[in-house]
Amino acid sequence: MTTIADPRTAPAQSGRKATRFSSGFWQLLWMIRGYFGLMALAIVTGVLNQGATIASAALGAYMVGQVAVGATAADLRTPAVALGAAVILRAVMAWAEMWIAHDLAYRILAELRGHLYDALERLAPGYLIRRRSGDVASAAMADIETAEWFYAHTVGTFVVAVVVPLLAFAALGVMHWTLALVLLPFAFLVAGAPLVLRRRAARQGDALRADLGNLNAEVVDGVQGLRELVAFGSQRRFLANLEAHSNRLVRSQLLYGMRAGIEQGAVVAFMSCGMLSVVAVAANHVSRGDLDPAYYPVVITLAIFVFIPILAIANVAQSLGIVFASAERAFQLLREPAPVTDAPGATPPDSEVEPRVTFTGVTFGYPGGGDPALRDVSFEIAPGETVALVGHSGAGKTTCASLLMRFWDVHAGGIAIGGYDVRRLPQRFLREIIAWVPQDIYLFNTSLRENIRMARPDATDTEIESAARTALAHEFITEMPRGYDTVAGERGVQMSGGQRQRIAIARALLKDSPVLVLDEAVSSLDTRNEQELNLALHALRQGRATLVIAHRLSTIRSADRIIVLEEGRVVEQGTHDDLLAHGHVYRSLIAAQTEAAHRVSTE
Amino acid sequence: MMIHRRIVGLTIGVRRLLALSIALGLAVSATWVAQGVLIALVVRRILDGRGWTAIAGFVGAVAGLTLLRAALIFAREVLAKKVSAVVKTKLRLRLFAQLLLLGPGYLEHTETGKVQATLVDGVEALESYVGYYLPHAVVSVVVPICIVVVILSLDPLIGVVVLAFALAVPLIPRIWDRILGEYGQRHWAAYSSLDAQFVDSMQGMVTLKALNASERRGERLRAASQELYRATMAQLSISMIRNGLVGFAMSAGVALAVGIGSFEVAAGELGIAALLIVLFLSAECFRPLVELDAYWHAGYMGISASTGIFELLDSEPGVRDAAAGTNGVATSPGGTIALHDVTFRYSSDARPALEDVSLEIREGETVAIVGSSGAGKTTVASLLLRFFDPQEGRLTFGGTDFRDIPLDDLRRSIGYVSQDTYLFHGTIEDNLRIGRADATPEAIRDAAGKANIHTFIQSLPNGYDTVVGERGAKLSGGERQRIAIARALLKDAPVLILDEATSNLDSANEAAIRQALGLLTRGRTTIIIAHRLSAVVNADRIVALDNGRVAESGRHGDLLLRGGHYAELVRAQREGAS
Repeated sequence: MTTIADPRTAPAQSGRKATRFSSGFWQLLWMIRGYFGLMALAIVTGVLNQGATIASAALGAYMVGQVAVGATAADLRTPAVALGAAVILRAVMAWAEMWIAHDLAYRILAELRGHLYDALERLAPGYLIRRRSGDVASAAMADIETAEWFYAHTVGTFVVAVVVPLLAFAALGVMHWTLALVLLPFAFLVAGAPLVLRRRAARQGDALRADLGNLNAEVVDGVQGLRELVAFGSQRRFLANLEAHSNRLVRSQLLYGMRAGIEQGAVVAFMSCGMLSVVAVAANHVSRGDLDPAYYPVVITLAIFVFIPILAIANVAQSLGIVFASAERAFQLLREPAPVTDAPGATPPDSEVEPRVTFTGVTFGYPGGGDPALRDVSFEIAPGETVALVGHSGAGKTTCASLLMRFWDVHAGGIAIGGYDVRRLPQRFLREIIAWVPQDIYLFNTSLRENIRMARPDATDTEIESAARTALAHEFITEMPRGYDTVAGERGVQMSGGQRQRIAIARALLKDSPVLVLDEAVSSLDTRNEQELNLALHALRQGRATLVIAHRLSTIRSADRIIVLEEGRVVEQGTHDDLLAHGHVYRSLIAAQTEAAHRVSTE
Repeated sequence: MMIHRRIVGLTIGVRRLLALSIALGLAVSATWVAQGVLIALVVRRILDGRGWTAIAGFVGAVAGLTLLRAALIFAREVLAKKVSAVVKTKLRLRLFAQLLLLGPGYLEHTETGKVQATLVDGVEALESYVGYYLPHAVVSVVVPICIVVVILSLDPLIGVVVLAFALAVPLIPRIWDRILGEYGQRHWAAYSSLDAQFVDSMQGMVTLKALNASERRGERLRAASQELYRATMAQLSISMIRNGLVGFAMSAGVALAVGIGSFEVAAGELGIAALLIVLFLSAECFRPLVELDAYWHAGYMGISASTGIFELLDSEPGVRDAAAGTNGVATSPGGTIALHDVTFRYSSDARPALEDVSLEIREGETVAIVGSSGAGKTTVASLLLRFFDPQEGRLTFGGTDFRDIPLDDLRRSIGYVSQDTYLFHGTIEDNLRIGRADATPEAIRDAAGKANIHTFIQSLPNGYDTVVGERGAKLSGGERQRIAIARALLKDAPVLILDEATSNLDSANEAAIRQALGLLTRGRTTIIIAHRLSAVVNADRIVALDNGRVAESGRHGDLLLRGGHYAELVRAQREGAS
C-alpha cells in the first residue's frame, strides 16, 4: 500500500530517521513493557527446553563414552537417571514454552487490536477518505496478526538462541578451552549468514510483495469487471495479461528461492565444518592425552547440538523482514494524529440546543488537495426548516455535511448549531444532536435489527420496527426469509441501494436528533417509494433543522429553501419558484429534468 | 501421512520435477546418514587409541559430503520454488478461466472477496504444500525406514524402540487433535470470527462515529477480545500438551536407544562400534520428521485454502455453451429476439424474479422495459446476455434457442451499456478498446466523440493515456456511462441492451448522455431497461413489469390512456417533477 505524503504527519516522521526495519522492531519490543514477568517466564522455559534437549543428547553420549572405556552397568545408573530426568524436563518445558509464549502473544495482540480500533476511530473519516477504508482496516488487522509471529516465536527464541549456546560453549570449554575457541567462529558464521544477506532478502521481499500486490489488483480487476469481460468477449486478452503478471511473480519467487537456497546451504555447511573442526581438534587432544577419551563422544554431540538454537535464529530471521515491515505500517497508523480533537474543557451545553444551523464565511480545503473545496460559504437553516444543497458533483455539497459533522475543522469562518460553535462542543455531543444519512451506506455484518439499533442501543424492538415502518423498510424486511434477523452480508451486497438507503433512514429516525442531514438519501429509490418517503419525512422535519443534498428534482422540491453551490461558493439561494424565475445556474442544473418531465406529461 | 489426493492431482505436468525434488531430498538425507556413520567410525578409531592420521581420510570425506550437501540444499530450494511456481501459475489461470466460464451469474451468490482470496492468497498458500511438504513427506517415510532397518540389523531391541518412537512423532499430533476434536478447533474459529467483527467495525467506522456508537462498540469488542483470550488460554494449555508429547517422543527415542545400547555393551551383548552407530544415526531418524512437522504447519494453510479452490473448480456453470457453429465457423444470429413463458429464480428457494414472461423484440425495434425496483427489469437483461438460463420457458434469437447458439456468437451480437460500468485498471484508451480489440486510435476517438466524452478525455492531463480505475483517476457516474456508450459504439453490435442508470447523474451530464444514446440506438434492435420514464416515451413499445410479470405493454400514448400500471408510474413520477 503506498502512503500519500501528508504535510501534517511529515515532521513526526522526519524527527526520527530510522530505517523501516529497526523502527518496527523497537516498537514491537516497546509493546512488551507491560509483560516483563511473562516474557521472562517464556525465556526461562525456552532455555530449559533447549538446555534439556542438549543435556539429554550429551548424557547419552556420555554413557556411550563411559561403556567404551569399560564402565559397568552399575556405573551407568546415575547418568541413566539423569538422562531420564532430562527427557522429562524437556517434554514439560516444550509444553510450557509454547503455552506461555502464546499467552504473551495473544495478550499483546488483544491490546494492539484495541489500539488499532481507537486509532481508526480517531482518524475516521479524515484519514480514510484518501484510501479505501476497507483496505486500511483489513490490511492493518493482517499487519497486527503477523506480530503474533514476533511475540510467540521470535523474541524468546532469540534470547534462548544466545543463552543456550553460551551454556554449551561453557561445557565444551570446561572439557578443553581450545574446543570452545575452535567452534566460536563457526557459531558467528551460522548466525551471520542471514544477516549478510539481509539487505538482499529485504529487497527481494519487497519486490515479491509488490508483484503479489499487482497480481492481486489484476485479479480484483478481473473479478469486479467480470460482466464486462464476458459481455465484450475479452476473456482471452485478460487471461494473457493475468499470465504475464503471474510469471512476473514467479520470477521474483525464484530469485527469492535462490537467495534462500544459498543461505540455507551455507548455514548447513558452516555447521558441519564447525563440528568437523571440533572432531579433529578433540581427536588430537585425545591422542595427546589432554582429553579423557570417554568425553570424546560428548564433545562431538555438543558440537552438533550447539548450532540448533542458533539455526532457529536463522529460520526466524528469514521472516523478520516481513514482520517488521508489517509492524511499521501498523504503528504508523497508530501514531497518526487525529484530524479533529475536542477543545480543552469542552462540555455539553446545559440547556437544550436550538436546532438552528449557521454557516458563517466557511472556507475549507482538503489536506494536500489543491483548490479549497468551500470558499466563504454562509447560510442558515432555521428550526423546522429544510434546506436543499444543489450543484454539480464536486461543488462542495458533501463537504458541507462533513464539516457540520466535524469530520474536519474549517480553515476560516465557523459553523454553529443553536449558537454553539461546533469546535467548542464535545464531538460525542455534536454527533448526538445530528442524524446523518450518508451517501455511502455501510451495513454491519449483523442482523438488520441490530443494524438499526446501532443508532440507539436502548431502543426496543417495537421502536425499531416503527422507525423501519416510517422509513418504508418494514415491508421489505419482513418479506425476507428471516425478517429483522436477516444478517446483512458482505457490505450488504444482497440488498439493493434503495433498501440500504431505507435502513439508513430508519437508523436516523431512531436516533431522533434535532439536526438531520440527508446526503443523497433517496437517490436509489424508485419514484413511488421516493414520494412516499418524502411525505413521511416531511412530518418529521417539524421542529428540526434538515439539510438535504440531492440531484433529483422531486427531492429538491420538497425543501423549503434551495442553496446552489458552484465550485465551492454559494451562487444562488431561494425557493424553487424564485430560482426558476431568477437563478441561471439553478435553471440550467434542472433544465434536463424539467424538460423530460414536461415531455412525459404532454406527449 | 496426510496426503491430499486432489492437491497431488494438481501436480500433473510437473511430476518429473517433483520426482527430482524428492530425489534431491533423499540425497540430502543420505549425506546426513553417511556423515553419521563416518563420525561413528572416527570415534571408534580414536577410542581405539589410534592417532589423528587414522581419521584424516574420514574427516576429508565428511568435508566433501558437507560441500555436496550445501549444493544439494541449494538445488532443492530452487526446485521447490520452481515446482510450486509452475503449479500455481497453471492453477491460477485454470481458476480464472473457470470463473469466466461460470460467468457473472456465479458472483450473484458468491462473495467476490472470497473469490479474489481464492485466486490470489489461496493459490499462493499451496506453495508450501506442493513445493516443500509433498516431496518431504516421501523423504520422511523412506529415510527413517532405512535407518530403522540398519539399526534392526545391529540390535533388534533398539531397532524396535527407535521405530516405535519414530512412528509416535508424526502420529501424536494427529491423535491428540482427534482426542480434542472440536475442542481444539473451536477457539481458532472464535478468533477468526472476532477478527472479522473488528474488520467489519473498522470498515464501517464513519457510520459508527456518526451514530455515536463507536466508543460503545469499541468497548464491547475489547471485552469480547479479553474474554476470548481467557478462554483460549485455558484451551491452549491442553492443546499445547501435544508439543510436550512430541518433544518427549524425540528425546526419549534417542535416549532409550542409547541407554539400552550402553547397558548392553556393559553386559557384553553389543559391540561398541554398533553402539556408536546407534548414537550418531538414531538422531538422524528424527531429523526428517521434525522438518516434516515444520513443513506441515506451512502446508496446512494450503489444505485449508484448497477447499475454496476445489469449490470453484467443481462449480457447474449455470449456462452451458453450445458447440461452435458447424465447421467451426462463427455465425451471427439475427432476427427477432423472444422470451417464451420464461420463469426464472435466482436460487431455488427464492420467489421468481420473472414469472411466465413472454416478450418479442423484432429486428430494429426499440422496446422499453419499465417497472418499479424489484420488478425484474435487470433480470431480463441478464437473461438476454445469457448470464443465466431460465428454469422454465426459453429464449430464442431469430427462432434459434439461446442454448443452441454459441455464447461467443450470442454475446458478439449484443452491445451492453450497464447502469454501473466497470473501468479496468489501465488507460482510458485500453478501456475503450474493450469494445473492439483491433480498433484503430482514430476509430476510438471517433466513438468517444459520438459518445460526448472526447472533449472530457482530452481535458485530462494525459488525455487518452490517463490511467483509470481503482488505482488511477476517478471518473464520475456520468463519465463512466459515456465511456460505456463509446464501448458499445465501437462494438457496433446489431442488438443493444441499455440498462439505464438511476438518477445519480447531474443534469449537465444527463443531456450529454441522452444525446449520445440517441446516436447509439439508431438502427439497432434496442432494449432499454428504464428507471426513469423520460427515457422511454419514444420507444416503439413499452413493457411494464410488475412483480416479475408483464402487467401491460403497448405504446406510450395508448398505455397512458388505458390508465393502468404504466399510467400510475408516470403519474407518480410527474408529481415528483413538476
